[in-house]
Amino acid sequence: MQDLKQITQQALNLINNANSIDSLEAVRVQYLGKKGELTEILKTLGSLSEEERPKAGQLVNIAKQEITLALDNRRQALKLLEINNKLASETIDVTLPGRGIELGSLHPVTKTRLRIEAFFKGLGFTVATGPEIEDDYHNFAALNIPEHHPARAMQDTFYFADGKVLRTHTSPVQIRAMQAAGAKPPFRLIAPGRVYRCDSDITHTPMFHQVEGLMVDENITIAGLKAILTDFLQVIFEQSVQIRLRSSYFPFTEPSAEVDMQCTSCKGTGCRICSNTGWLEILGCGMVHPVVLENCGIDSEKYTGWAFGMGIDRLAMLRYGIPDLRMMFENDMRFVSQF
Amino acid sequence: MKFSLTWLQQLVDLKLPIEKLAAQLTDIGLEVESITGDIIEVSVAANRADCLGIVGIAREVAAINKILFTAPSIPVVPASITDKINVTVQDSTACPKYLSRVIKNINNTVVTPQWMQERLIAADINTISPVVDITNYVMIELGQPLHAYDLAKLDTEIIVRRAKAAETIALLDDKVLELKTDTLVIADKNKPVALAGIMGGKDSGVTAKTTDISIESAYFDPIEIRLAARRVGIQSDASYYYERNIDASMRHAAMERATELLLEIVGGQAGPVVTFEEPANLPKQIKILLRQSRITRVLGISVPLTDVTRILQQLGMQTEQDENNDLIVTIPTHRVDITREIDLIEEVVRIFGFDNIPAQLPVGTLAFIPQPESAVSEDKILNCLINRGYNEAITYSFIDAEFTKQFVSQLDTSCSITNPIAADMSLMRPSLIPGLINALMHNQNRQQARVRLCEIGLRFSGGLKNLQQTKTIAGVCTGTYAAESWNSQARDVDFYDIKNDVLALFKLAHNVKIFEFRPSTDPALHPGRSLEIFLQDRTVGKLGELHPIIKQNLGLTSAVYIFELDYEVISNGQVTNFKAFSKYPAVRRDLALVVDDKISVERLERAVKESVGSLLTELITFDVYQGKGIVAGKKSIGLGLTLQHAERTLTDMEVNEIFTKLIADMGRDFQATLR
Repeated sequence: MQDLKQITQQALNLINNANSIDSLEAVRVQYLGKKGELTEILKTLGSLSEEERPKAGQLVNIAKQEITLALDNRRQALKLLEINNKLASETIDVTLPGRGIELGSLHPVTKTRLRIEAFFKGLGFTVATGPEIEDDYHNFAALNIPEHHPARAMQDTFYFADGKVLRTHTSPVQIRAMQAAGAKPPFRLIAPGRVYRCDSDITHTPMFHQVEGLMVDENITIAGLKAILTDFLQVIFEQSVQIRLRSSYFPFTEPSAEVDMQCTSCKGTGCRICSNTGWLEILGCGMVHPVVLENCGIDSEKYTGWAFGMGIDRLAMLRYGIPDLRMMFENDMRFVSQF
Repeated sequence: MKFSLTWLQQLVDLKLPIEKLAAQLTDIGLEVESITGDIIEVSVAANRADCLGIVGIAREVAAINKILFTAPSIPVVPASITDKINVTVQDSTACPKYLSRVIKNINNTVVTPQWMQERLIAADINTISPVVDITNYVMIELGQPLHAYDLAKLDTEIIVRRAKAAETIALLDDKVLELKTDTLVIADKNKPVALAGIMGGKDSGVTAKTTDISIESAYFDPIEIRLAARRVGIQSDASYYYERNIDASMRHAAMERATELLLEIVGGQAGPVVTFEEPANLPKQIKILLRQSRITRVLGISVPLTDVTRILQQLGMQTEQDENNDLIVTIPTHRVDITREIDLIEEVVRIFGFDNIPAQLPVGTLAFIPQPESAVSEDKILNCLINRGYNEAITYSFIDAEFTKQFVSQLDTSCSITNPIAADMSLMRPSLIPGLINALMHNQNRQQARVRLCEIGLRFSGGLKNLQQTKTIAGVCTGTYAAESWNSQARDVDFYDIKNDVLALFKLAHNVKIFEFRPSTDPALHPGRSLEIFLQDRTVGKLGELHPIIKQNLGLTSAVYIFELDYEVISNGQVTNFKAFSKYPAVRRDLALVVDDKISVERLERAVKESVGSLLTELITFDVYQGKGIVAGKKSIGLGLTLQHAERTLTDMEVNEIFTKLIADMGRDFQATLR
């Protein structure tokens, strides 16, 4: 049986040195094949005595198992090696960029508008729209700005030959919406869109975007307006925001106020963005003038309402740190692709 | 309105730093525009003529600071001579009040006192001569414009009347105006001597030599003056005041104040005040009920009655309490802007302070907002394009008509702004394409070769007469299909890319099948690479390659592809209605047909569908080939047909029969042969 130990040892050595599946197979045949060395030994067992045979048989079987196990292990190791080698040869530079068309971008004004819409939709407001070439009635008269009213000079209006105008604010949409809804409050709506004024300098473009907000019901107050505006600005700027209301004059609201927001850049200490005042003029608002409600056929004694109008472009500039309003409408790819 | 803090402090006992005062003024609606040293400039709202004089400002300041203010008392200067000039007012609607006073033997060569000069200069008013300076001074003190005539230049009387045809007047600013008959003038016996409420005439103006004057203190209808000033194109200090509706009841006081100052500074003797007045046409003093409950309804908090009363009284109003503890408020004539209860509530909150109203979220009934699933939202549409590599643009709604003519044949320019910022920003865009091409050029001029832009906005068609404002969605592409990259084959974007973008939009609305594509005749597009999109025989859009000649004219380097669609056909979608699909195996068979190259694939596909019938579940064109092996003028179309039966497996024989028939049909209808 000294032979058996030697044979096993030799087989194990050969297995461990086998470098390929093929050479490993040759080792298997050499020892376990039909004429393999171990098979041959098995064949000789018949010549042993009845007492010796079981023990010898057991030893041969142990050797066979040992070799089979070694073969399996080595085979698996060689297969793994083979796969690894294949994978290594397939290596690519994973740092190269991906392929195909890349994502485009949403204009910062639209991005801001959609956030504004999301805020108000969450409160049950609907989004209303209206024409941009408006008639005098909706842009002015219905909003308590009769003909010859000095307030018409407050808004530099673009005119058409037939007396129509480019809407100077999104307020006409509130008239249209209230009348379309059969003048039956409650109303909760916002009206975003393009507006136009005959004005062009560093801080003004003849076209810009405004969002009008309107809430009319039986218990609508300035206290409520203040709360909504504060929450709104905090949601948009994602920071705690202080606001202040200053008395102002708009023919379609009364009382009217301008709303300043504490500068989001310097937190009120004064910087370039707020011209060192610590405050940013952000919107105009007020309680809907009873005349406006009455023009829409609404009982101004029973119902009160508030309205606000806010520049979307300005909000977007503050939010994203855009320094120049005019950039908004140049559509330079280096600008638009950033958003 | 500009004034010095020192002057204000002479009227109210105020010891505030100027910045604090400025903040207060801004808070109550007199927005401070600038502070220069001691001088404050406030912007006065269009309805607040009372604050165009320092006295009005002082009243406001006193109310905020709860300090006593009494308007300076103006002594009546009795007449010491009997000289007067007769006044006739022919239009008492336009001029309900006209006061005139003669002052004789003045010396207009003296120097205007320093204190008065300083106040005028602070208000940006030039000093001219003592008489003119005094009238201007009363204007900024009391908010009451006045005018002085050289009595020697007036022919015996004053008539307030409409101008006569062909009358002219030389104005103080040396302009000569030919008057229209609707213009209100102040005239003497023969000729107009002033444009009422706007500007005096040069000939009747006071000079250094003037010794006798006639002072005018009038009240003109604000709309009259506003319209007249706009018609003649003159904005003067006087018209600015009159337009804003000055306090008519102060006209006497203004006359007395001017007389007092004149006698003091230029000497002379005053005649009696000649007064014309039509009370029916003058603003009336009114009373308004202010309910405590209404204040609470509007503000959301109650303001103590004592505060309300104090505020209103300090603003010059009289209040009486009625049996309900509500207030009956008498409105002074300097506040013609106050006409109803809400105006009083505004006054209360203005002085009480918005800051003193706590924020409190409104409470309301929950209400459902319809969410139609068939409506495709704008952000969904935009995101679809963005996912396909578009950058959203916002271009101006008004564009250059000349530039636009290249893209639109028979351009109707009637829908143009009459007062544009610039000539090239006057036409309301009939299409979004010119603006987007303009943006594309902007980018190409800045070395951006690959541009992909889209926009949603209104386009304006039909001219002014049949104006349509149609929400539209459009896109432009040029340069390579994908951004330049290490592995791209740098393929340029082409017709089929942009067509697929449009199909993706239709897919959003689950609407692909109802649209029809027809070759386009749009002159702005490549005649062989463009199509028009129809929905039930109505044009709803177009897409294609920009005409190469236009491209060349614009100096663009590579082909430009555009699309433009009515927004509504994308946003009005359909809700998916599930269709069952067969669980039996499908058979895929391919077929290559050689046909005349004029035959469109769409026609061929339609014929295949008709021939095969309902067993055809999918049909794709996988190959279009012309060249070697295909006769010139022909093309080979590779069609892949998927056949499937809803209830059983198809047999080979059935499929073979279908194909035999199909090939026969194609041969008959298109002279198609198998490749």
